[in-house]
Amino acid sequence: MRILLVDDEAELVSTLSERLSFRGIDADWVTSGAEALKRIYANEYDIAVLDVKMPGMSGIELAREIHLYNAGMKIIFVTGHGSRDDFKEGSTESGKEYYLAKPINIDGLIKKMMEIME
Amino acid sequence: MYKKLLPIKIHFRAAFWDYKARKPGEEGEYFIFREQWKIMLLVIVSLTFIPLIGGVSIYYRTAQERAVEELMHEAIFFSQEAALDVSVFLKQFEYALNFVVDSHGYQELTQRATLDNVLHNLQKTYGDFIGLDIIDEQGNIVATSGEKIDSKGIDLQGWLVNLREKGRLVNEFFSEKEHKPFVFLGIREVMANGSMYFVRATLDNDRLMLLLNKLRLAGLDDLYLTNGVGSILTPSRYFGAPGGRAYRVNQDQVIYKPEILKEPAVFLIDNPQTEQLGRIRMWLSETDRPEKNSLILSTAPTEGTSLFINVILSASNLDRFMQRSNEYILNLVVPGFILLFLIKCCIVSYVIHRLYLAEIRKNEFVSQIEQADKLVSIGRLAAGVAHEVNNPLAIINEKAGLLQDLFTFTGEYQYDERLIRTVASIIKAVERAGAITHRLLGFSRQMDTSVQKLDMEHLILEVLDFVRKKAEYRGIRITVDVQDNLPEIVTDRGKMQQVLLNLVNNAFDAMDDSGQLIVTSHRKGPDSLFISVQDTGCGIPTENFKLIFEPFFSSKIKTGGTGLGLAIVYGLVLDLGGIINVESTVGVGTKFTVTLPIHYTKTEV
Repeated sequence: MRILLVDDEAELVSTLSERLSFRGIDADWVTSGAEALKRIYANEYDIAVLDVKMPGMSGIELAREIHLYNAGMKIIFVTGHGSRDDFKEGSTESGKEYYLAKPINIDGLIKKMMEIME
Repeated sequence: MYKKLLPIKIHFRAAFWDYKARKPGEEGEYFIFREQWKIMLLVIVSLTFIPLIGGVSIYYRTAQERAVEELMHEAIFFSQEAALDVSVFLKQFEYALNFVVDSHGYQELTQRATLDNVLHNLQKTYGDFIGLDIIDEQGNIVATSGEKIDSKGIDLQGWLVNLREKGRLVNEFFSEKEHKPFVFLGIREVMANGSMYFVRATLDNDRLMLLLNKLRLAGLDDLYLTNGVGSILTPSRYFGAPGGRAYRVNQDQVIYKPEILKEPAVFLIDNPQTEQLGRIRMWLSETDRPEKNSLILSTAPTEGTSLFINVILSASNLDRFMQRSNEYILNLVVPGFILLFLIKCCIVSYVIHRLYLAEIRKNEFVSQIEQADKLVSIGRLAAGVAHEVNNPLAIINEKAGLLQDLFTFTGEYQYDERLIRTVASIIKAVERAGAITHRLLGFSRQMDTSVQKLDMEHLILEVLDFVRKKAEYRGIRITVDVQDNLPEIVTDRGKMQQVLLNLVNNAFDAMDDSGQLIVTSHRKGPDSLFISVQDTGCGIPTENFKLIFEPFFSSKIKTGGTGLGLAIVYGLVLDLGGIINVESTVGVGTKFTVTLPIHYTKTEV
């Protein structure tokens, strides 16, 4: 399973990547939508974990771009926005997007990723 | 209810009297409702009183004119009646004379003895007959009986000319010597052979005087006889003893010439005094209102005689005629005006009071809106802060997690319990902080309302989360009872949140410390479910059950409550297609129950 982490907070996303690798998950990280796209065009990823609110390209826009390129790619949105019920809703165009709340619970993240891969 | 109708308290100060406020665009505060009251009362009183007073004045003027008219007519009536009475009185003598003359022939009458006898007989019935004269066709007195009066100044021939023409004549003669008047009664007799003779009777006027006195007593100030040239024949209160003149020639015009009167006429005497009578002028119309001290003189000719009846009425008789109108005004109109004025005061007070209430309500409403606005701003601020805070929190979380991972996965420090515990507590604290920010963000979300599937238990717990700390501090126990498998309901989340929050807050306000709050939600029938919020607070009296949902009804006004909370809840519940009701016992507690349809039906507004 190859993961791409995208968040404008470098501290967050680098640490997360490290923690995931402790758990045997390979996770690249970038700090902007543009960089993310570069990586995606260059490599293959199973899941992209995107921060919704980013300067420049937002998570939603990025997701759209990704799907234009690879419709089958799974996206997990991470947001510091809204209450828990937002995640149940997960209103999406394709129904292939999932939400998690910040601060991220790493076990929850991994569990979600496992679910998605099935 | 009584208080609402009559806001004027016993000491006559209404609630709005002392209300001070600033007028828009002006400095300083005014008693705005006091001013409005005064202005409104002034306007209403003027608008109604001016025409009323106008009407009453017109009425009074009309009554006065009517009174003057009546006075004039009364004067004329009196003189006419008196003239008639005098005429009838004198007719008696004429009939008597006719009778005796017809009973005897000319020849007989010219004999002294017969004439004496005739006179004597006449006098038996009518003591007024003093003398009798028989006059032949040529104008010579051929027989006479009775008293001889001084005939100086009597124009016998002229008198006979008149008599020859008219057939009968009554006129007077004032004797200077005796200083009193006499009446001559003349009749013309035509004999069988066509020639004629005349009989002249001289009459004393004592009984005439009695008659006149009697007539005067009918309410006249004066009554006297005059002749054709205005000489007074009977004593007059105003014009003096007989013999004098009863009119004045006013400079260049003679204003009172009775002999030309064919009908009764009326005159006004202004400013009469006992010594010299004031100006006499013809009273031509009722619009000429006599002064209070004026006299009204009415003169009427006596039919068949040369006598004129004069009656005098004082103009003060007008008071008599005005009496009823004066009474009417005094007893009806004036109290009526006063009553009307009081009623107007009450009406104006009532109206101003309603205006005042509306103003108070408006002010409350505006402050409510300001408060709500403030809350919205705070909400947005909180959401912004929470969102900002989430990022650093996430970083702390990851870093602490990394520390933990370093301990677990690399094996370093894994035996340092203190380190491990410290990191663990950092992570726990971050979780708590995260919960708080989530709650804040969740709350600010309620401003966006949206219809969605709602897990009631979830919502209840979320709302109770807000008051958890408050409950702990105050020792209030919270119990939640949600039916298992309570179906998810499709509804507006934000509105439901606000309803619940309001009810819970009210419950807290109603309770003392160490009370109990029970929130229940069960299914009700196939299509609905209910949520109830029950407290052990002060309770609500039964008579207020309907009132509590009214805007601005509040038992917390002193503490800054605005009375809109339950009104808002009511409106929201309606919007959600549900109903709310209350059960309560004073001193025990209150329970609000909201029943909602499981499938959302927004009520059309």
